[in-house]
Amino acid sequence: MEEYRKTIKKRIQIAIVFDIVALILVVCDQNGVFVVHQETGLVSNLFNIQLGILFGLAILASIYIIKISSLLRDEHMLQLAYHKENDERKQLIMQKSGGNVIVICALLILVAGFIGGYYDGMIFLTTLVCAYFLLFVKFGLKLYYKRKY
Amino acid sequence: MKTKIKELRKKHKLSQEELAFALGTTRQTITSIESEKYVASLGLAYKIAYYFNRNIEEVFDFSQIEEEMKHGRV
Repeated sequence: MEEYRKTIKKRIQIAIVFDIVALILVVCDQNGVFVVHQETGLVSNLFNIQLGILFGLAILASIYIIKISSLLRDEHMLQLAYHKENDERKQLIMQKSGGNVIVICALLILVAGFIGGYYDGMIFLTTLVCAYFLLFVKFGLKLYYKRKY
Repeated sequence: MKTKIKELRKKHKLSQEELAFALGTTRQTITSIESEKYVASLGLAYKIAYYFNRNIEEVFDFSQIEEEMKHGRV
């Protein structure tokens, strides 16, 4: 259980770093540090969308921090969380629904879309839809296997 | 796969949650095993049998597998 406690602490640290980076970027943007010029304004809009997504993820990370930091205070809850994470049925469902591969692919596609978006806005939109579709498929598979097992 | 987990659990006056916690698994897994939706791994099956101080064959019904083996279907 001590190992798991260390893992939780590491996860909290990563989420805090992510939150700080997101906050710095959003504050910089609000203060006009990033000056992006283009006739159409597409790049500027794209950057705002990216910051919006980043800010959304930062809020999720904050919720995650609150959720898992409470585990460190309660040994029973920590054990329950450990059991939940290492549960064989859950692992089977996870494997059957594509594991983390689909989520990683979706994130990579999203990052590629962020970069590609600076060349053409349509690339960003296409990759965004593609990433959402992948996550939707993963969610559907997870629901199906949760009902099956 | 048919099991006697529910029967044994009730005999020991345990809830699914309590049994799950003792075995290091989740309530949903116990529910799935009891409702024959999910077949426990060898490790978990052993843990369950050990917890109730029984042999695996006493907790889990292997008759279907034995039948299949008799007819050379395995």
